[in-house]
Amino acid sequence: METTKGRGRFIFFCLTPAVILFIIFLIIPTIDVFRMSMYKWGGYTDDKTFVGFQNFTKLFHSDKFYQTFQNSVLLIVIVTIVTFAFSLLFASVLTREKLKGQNLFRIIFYIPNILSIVVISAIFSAIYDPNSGLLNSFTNLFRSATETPTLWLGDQKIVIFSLAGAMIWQAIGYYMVMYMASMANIPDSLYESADLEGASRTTQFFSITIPLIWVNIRTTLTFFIISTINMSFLFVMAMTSGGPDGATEVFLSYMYKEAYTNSSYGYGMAIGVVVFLFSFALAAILNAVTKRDNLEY
Amino acid sequence: MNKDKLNESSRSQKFFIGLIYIALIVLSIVIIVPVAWAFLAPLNKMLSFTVVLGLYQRDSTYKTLLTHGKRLKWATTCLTPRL
Repeated sequence: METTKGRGRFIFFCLTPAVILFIIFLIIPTIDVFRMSMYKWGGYTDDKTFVGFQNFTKLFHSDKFYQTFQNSVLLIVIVTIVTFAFSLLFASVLTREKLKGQNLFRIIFYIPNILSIVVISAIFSAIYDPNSGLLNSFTNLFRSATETPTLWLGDQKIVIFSLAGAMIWQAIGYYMVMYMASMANIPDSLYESADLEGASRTTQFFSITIPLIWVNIRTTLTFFIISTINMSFLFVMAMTSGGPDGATEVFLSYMYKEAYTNSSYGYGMAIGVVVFLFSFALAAILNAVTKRDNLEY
Repeated sequence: MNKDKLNESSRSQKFFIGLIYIALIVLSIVIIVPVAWAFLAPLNKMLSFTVVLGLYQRDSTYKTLLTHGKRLKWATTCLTPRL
C-alpha cells in the first residue's frame, strides 16, 4: 500500500514540472490567441476593443486571405505529393537493393536537412537569379540569346513552383531517413518468399513494403501538413517576402504582416486561429482517411 | 530455353540496377551542385579580388584616419605591391 503511494508520489513529482511548463508555454498562449482574435488591438498599447467575431467576418471577406489560402493549399499539395513519392522511392531503393556507395548516397541525400532554411533560401535565390543564376545559365544552353530570361522568383505564374522546388529539395532527405528506418524493420524472409512466388519488385513494394510501413506513412502525412505550413513561412520571408504582388503570400506570412507590420494584432490572431483549425482539421481528415488495421509481422 | 530465360532475366536485372544508379546519381547531383555552388561562390569572389590584375591601381596606398589620443593621424593600412 505504502509502496503504491510512494510510486504515485514519485510519478506526480516527475510529471509536475513538465505539465506546468506545458500549461504555461502551450495551453495558455493558445487560449490567449483565441481570446485575442476577438479584440481590435494594435499590439503595442493597452487600448483593446472587444469586437466579437468581427475579425473573422473581415477575414472571410478578404480576397487577400483567399489568395494566401490558395497558395498555402497549393504548396501543401505539391510538396506533400512530390516529397512523399521521391522519399518513399529512394528509401525503398536504398534499403532493398544492394548497391555500391549506398552509404554515400544516404549522406548526400541528408545534406539539405543539416542546412538552415535561410542558407537554403540564399542558395535557391542565387540559383533562381535571372541573370547569373545556375538555372538560367543551364536553360540558356537550349534557347537563343535574344529570349528574355525566365524570372523564377519574379513571374507570378512560376514563383510558387520555384518555392515548392526549394521546399521539396530540403525535405526529401528527412522523410527518406524516416521511411528507411521503418523499412529496415521488415524481415527479409517476406521478400524472399515473395521472390520464390515470382512476385516482381513493384508487386513486393506495393504488397509488402507499403502495408508494413503504413503507420509511419500516416505519421509523416501529418508532418507534411504541419511542416509545409511552418516552412513555407520561412522560405517566403527569406526568398520573396510574399511577392510578386502577393503571389507567394502564405498563411503565416500574411498573419505575420497583419500582426506585426500592419499593427492589426487582433486580426493577425484571427488568421492564426483559422490556420490552427485548418491544419488540425486537415490532419484529422488525413488520419481518418488513411486508417487501416495494423499489420503484425 | 531455360538458359535464354535466365539470360533475359539477368539482362533486365542489370537494366533495372542501371536505372536505379542513374536516378540516384541524378538526385545526388541535384543536391550537391547547389550546395557546392553556393559554398564556392565566396571563394570565387575572393579569387577575383586577389588574382585579377589591373583591378586596382599600381602602387596605390590605402590610409585610414586614426583617432587615438588628441591628435588625428593618418596610418597606412594597405599597400598594393607593384605587379
